[in-house]
Amino acid sequence: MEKSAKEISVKNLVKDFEYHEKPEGLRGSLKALFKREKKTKHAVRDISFTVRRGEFVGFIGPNGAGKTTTLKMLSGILTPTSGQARVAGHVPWEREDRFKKKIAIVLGQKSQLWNTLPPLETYNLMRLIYDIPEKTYRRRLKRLVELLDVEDKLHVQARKLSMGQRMKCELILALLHDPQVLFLDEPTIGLDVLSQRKIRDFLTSHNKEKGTTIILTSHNMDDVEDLCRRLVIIDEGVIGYDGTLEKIKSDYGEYRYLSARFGDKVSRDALAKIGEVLEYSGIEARLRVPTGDTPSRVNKLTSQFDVKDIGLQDVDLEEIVSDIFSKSKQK
Amino acid sequence: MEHIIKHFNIFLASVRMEVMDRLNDIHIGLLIMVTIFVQIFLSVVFFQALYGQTESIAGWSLSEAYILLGTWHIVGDISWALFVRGFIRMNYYVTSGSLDMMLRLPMDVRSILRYRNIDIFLHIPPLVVGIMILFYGISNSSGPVHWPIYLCLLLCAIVTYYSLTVMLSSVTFYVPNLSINYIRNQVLELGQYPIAIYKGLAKLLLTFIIPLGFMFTVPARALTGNITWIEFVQALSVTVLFYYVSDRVWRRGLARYESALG
Repeated sequence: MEKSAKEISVKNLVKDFEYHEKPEGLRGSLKALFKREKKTKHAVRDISFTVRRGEFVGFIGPNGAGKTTTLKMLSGILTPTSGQARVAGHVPWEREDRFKKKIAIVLGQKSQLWNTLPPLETYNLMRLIYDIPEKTYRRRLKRLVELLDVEDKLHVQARKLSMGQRMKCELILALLHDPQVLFLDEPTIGLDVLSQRKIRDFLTSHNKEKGTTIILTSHNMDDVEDLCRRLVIIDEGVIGYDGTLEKIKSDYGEYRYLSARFGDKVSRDALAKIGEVLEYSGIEARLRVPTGDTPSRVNKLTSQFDVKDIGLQDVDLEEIVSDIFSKSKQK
Repeated sequence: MEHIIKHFNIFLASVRMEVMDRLNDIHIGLLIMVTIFVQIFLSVVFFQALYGQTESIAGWSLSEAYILLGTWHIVGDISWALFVRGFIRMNYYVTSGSLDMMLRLPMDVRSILRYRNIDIFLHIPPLVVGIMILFYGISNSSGPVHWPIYLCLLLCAIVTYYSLTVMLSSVTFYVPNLSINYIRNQVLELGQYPIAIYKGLAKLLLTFIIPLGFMFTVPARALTGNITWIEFVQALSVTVLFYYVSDRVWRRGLARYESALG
């Protein structure tokens, strides 16, 4: 398969939802009986982007930004108000069975497993629905179960599984038919650190091995940093940034963090001449310094003080993203 | 053919899963079954009491009324076993956004609703009782019995029941918080009585708008010996018409589906 081929192309996609607003209280309810104020929520406003085959893209934004709505349109669950999109060669909202066999969607807060039965039963039903030959099904299931380490959970009622175990089983369910495109909406929500790590490792290796195109939405920036080479930042239905993770860090990471431990107590005022003091305890401090001037600031610090240990840290993605969001709000 | 085999296999797998599911909470299942049996018993008691006062109602004797009652139970129980449960949960599926997960599957979402909610375990026993009531009625009736026509009309009745259920559940796409299941059940209850007892507008309504007459009375007449070819053709036409309309209404409604915001 050609990796540079476009797997997803979106042009001027718009989704509006209509809703009614009701004034407060009983009087408001009575008034609404006769006159209802119709409002429109512009969930997605004229977005355009493309995703190449095999890319792993992070689709991030605050709550209500339009991420999930976009994912639902691209997976054919929702029909857009206007605009065009093609996913794996199909118009998603035409909902052709051939298209549905090429994609999968995992919504972190919605389960696809049959709650009262073990996951294996749901897998078997999906095998029939997706027309997966028995041998292929067994082989894929074995691989996925081993990679996600859930051999002993396949015969446990889905409702008795922990959130982490459940998400692993949901991922298996989504990948049994070997989709070309995978949409992941908050796959690590509510999971402990270990489970998050396991799922991230799995997704990385699956993306590499199978060349699956993956779009991930997550509020967890560790997910995004670990998994995605490209970020699309969306807020209030508009794309605010589209580029590589490295570029966003160099474009927006104007500062770096300098942590130091000293042999003797140092004065806060002296440190303030080197950088903005964020944390200070006398023999330990954390400073913020301009990215471009970092080497000279480090030199100053080591020459002026008895530095026992030093650490340099890039500004984290979460800060950059919240900075972009607040700038777009100010606009 | 491949398509039929696929659906048959999914049907079997769904039945297996439903039975396993029911066995997990067997006490709830048994309680529901007892309620269904009480309903059947009350229907029989009602008919006995009614016919204690008179020999015939709108031209229907007690044994003919049992044929109708048996037919009503057979159509109802087969429908409940195969598809009703999924569609009466549409409110929940739409308001919670659970329909999203069904829409992503490579199969018509109506099929998913049917298979996901098969309810054979609970409805086989009452179905057997319905068949027993039917045969009791036939054994006491003197008219000629047209089994092939009856079976054909029974199939038509189930298809029309399905069309009505699909049409009514499509309302959820327009008014997600409105549940019309209670009204649906109440109206279908009227089908256990001969359509001839209704007059004027009510008769017209229950024949053409909600075609209870064609669903229950006409098939029963195939076993009481009173059916005419015109009725047979009308019943077939109503089945095709209702299926077509329900398909259009469903597709239009589904195009409006907006999921739960998120």
